[in-house]
Parts: sequence; C-alpha cells; structure tokens
Amino acid sequence: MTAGVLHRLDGWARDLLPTLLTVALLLLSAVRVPMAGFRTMTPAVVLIAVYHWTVHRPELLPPGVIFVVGLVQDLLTGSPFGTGPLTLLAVHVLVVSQRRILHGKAFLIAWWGFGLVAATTFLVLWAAGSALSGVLLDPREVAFRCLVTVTVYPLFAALFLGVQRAFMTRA
Amino acid sequence: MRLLRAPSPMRLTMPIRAWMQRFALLLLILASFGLIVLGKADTVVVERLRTRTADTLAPLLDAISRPVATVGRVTDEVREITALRAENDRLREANGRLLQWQEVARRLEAENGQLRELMNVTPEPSLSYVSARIIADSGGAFVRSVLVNAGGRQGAAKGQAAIADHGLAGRVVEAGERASRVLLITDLNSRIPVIVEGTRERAVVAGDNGPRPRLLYVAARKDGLRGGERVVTSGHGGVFPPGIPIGEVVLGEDAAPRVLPYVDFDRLEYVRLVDTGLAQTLSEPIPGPQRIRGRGRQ
Repeated sequence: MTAGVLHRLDGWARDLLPTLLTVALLLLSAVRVPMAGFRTMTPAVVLIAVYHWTVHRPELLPPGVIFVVGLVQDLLTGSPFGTGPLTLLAVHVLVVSQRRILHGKAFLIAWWGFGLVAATTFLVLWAAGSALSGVLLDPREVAFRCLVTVTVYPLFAALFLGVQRAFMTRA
Repeated sequence: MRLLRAPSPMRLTMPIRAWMQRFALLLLILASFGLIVLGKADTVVVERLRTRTADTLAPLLDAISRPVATVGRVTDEVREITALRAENDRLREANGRLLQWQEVARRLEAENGQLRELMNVTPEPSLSYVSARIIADSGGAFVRSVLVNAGGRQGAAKGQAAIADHGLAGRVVEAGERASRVLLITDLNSRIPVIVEGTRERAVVAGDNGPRPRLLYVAARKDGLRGGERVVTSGHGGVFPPGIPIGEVVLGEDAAPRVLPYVDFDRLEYVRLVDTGLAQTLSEPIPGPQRIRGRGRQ
C-alpha cells in the first residue's frame, strides 16, 4: 500500500519536472546580473523551455500551465500585460502543429525549428510592443535578443534532455 | 469493420477529451487577448496584480539574486584588475581635483547659509532616504524597469525618486508591501522635468528605451546648448527634489540633443529612494486623456 502511494507520488513528481524547470528558469531570468552588457544579452529562456517540452512531452506542459507562466512573466517583468501568455501559447500551437517534423529527428532539425519559432515569436512581440506603446521600437535590440536566444538553445536543450534521461524515462 | 461496432465508453471519451483540450486552448488564447485589452484599459487592476506578484515573489527573488550578483561582481572585478594601474593613476588625479572642489563647496555652503539667513529663505523640506537592492530586472526589449526590495513597510512610496551613487536612476511607479518597481529614466514612458545647468533652461528628459534619453523642449536649440552641460532635475511638478544630477548633454549627428546618464544601468545594484514628503501627490490617478494615464503604468 505505502509502496504504491510512494510510487505514485514519485511519478507525479517526475511529471511535474517540466513545469518546475520552466518556473525556475522564469525566476532566474528575472534576476538581474550587474555586469556590463548583460541587459541586452539575456536570452528568453522561458521560450526555450516551452518549445523544448512541447516538442518532447507536450502532455506535461499543458496550455493552462503555459498561460500562467506567461502571465507571471508579464507581471514580474512589467512588460505589456497579456503579451507573455499570448506569445507562449502561440509557440505551443506552432510546435504542436509541426510536432511530427520536429520530434524524434536529428538535433539540428529541432534547433532549426526553434530558430523559426523564436524569430516568429520575437517578431510578434516586437509588433505587439510597438502597437501597444504607440512608438516603433528599435528592431535591432529584438533581433539581437533573438539571436542570443537561438545561440544558447543547445545549452538548455542539453540540460532538459539530461533531466529527461535521468528522471523521466518510462520504465 | 471496426467502425461498424458500437464504440466503447473509453473510445467515446477520447475524441471528447481532444475536443475539450482544443476548446480550452482556444479559451486561453482568447483570455490572453482579453488581458491585453484589460492591461490597456484598466491600469489600476493590473497595477494591483503586479504589486501583489512582486510582493509574493520578492523574498524568493531576493534570495536568488544575491549569489547571482556576486558572480557578476567577481567577473567585473577580474576585468578591473587588469586595468588597475591605469585606474589608480586616474583616481589619484581625480582625487586631487576633487579636494579642490571640496574646498570650494565648503566655502560656498557657508556663504550660501549666511545669505539664506540674511534673506529669510523658506528652507527646503528635509529629505529622508530608503536604501534598496535591485532584485529583478525587466530584461525584455520593451520596458526599462527594475524591482527593488523595499516597499511600503520600509517607507517606499509611489512617486519617489530613485538615486544611484552618481545621479537619478528612475522613479517608483508601483509600491507594494516589501517590493517596488522603479521605472528607469531610459524607459519609453519616463518623462522628467529638468533644468540645463549652464543656461538655466527648462526641458524634459524623455526615455526611448535606448541608452541615451532625449532632451525635449529646449528652446535654444543650437546656439545656447553645448555638449557636456549638466542636466539636473528641476523639481517642477513637485515630485522630485530639485537639483538631482541626471547626466550630460550630448549633441548627436542628427542634432537632436540627448542626455548621457551618470548612472551606469548595467552595473546598477543599489538605489536610494528619496522621500520628499510630496510623493503622495502622484498616487491619486491623474484625470486626463487615456494616453497620459497609461504612461504611469509601466
């Protein structure tokens, strides 16, 4: 009996890992690093997390969780309210529709897919940000952040894959 | 063949569940659009949500940001060690110059005090300070704001000026119980009434998310204004105490005057919130056109 309960708890904890990792990255990305040039270099790590888990285990990072994560991100960073959940859900929809191409293929394909998704997301963010503030925002900064995010993708993908291999392989 | 058989309850629930999931997704996307509209329309509700979130997460962010800040500082220190000798020379030279200025300042202060006494000048209201550490950064491309670990409990209030060691960093736009949001002077929505020190001319420093905010409404566009002149807060509008240094005038290639802030926003770690006792004037929502009201939001 106890063993059964423990086993089930263990399963739940493992299933919660994607959500926990995403939330942890959300908090970490909000923390300020007092270092020259760091502001503009911060990659959108939450975007990476949502993309990765939707490609590999979409059932463990459902839209409801993505919505809440986006909302908290908006509230925490003070960015235009509602743009966070909208863009992250757009990533979810995009990835789910193309999952057959992205899942289980070579890593380069997943990376390339992420590049496309990130470019689309940042474009939408830039357009929405410009429309909501009424001023055309500097596109160079958004492009640079997009580039940084795509560049660091393999690092985080490796981390997530490591976690997946260590804790989430179906016995 | 299989299609002709009566479906079992399990088979029936599968399409319903898939349909439900799709419906939920659609609802969530619609809700996101709703939130965007809400954020534009009702700034009070969103502001309250923001302060509540910041208050809740403040202790956690505070704990995380400490080691991260240390790592950042160590990397910076390593970089600085390589330039130590040159830096020492520069500082020695600056120190000599500043000692002279200190002498001048002391003399002027005494003289100023005497003159004030003679003229019976109303004394400026006394200021009190709250020191706060930055615990989170907006990071994104759209907003230039930071969260600091001081709120209403520590004496922080909406409208207070946030000063870093060298000059004005920003203004408190949301104050919670134990955390507040400071809108930096480089933000798109930041407007600060200033005086150009040399010409005593009034102007407004307006952020545009870039590193150098614009200097608006300067009358003497080319003749009077020179690069390198100090820009300080004017105290007009009764929000900021007058005389807080902001930066120096730079004249770009497009001849539009800009301000190079004294504060190094990359390395900003602590700010002091200045309480003039006047800050409360801003906490009431200002009646007026929607656009202006929206400005104070971010």
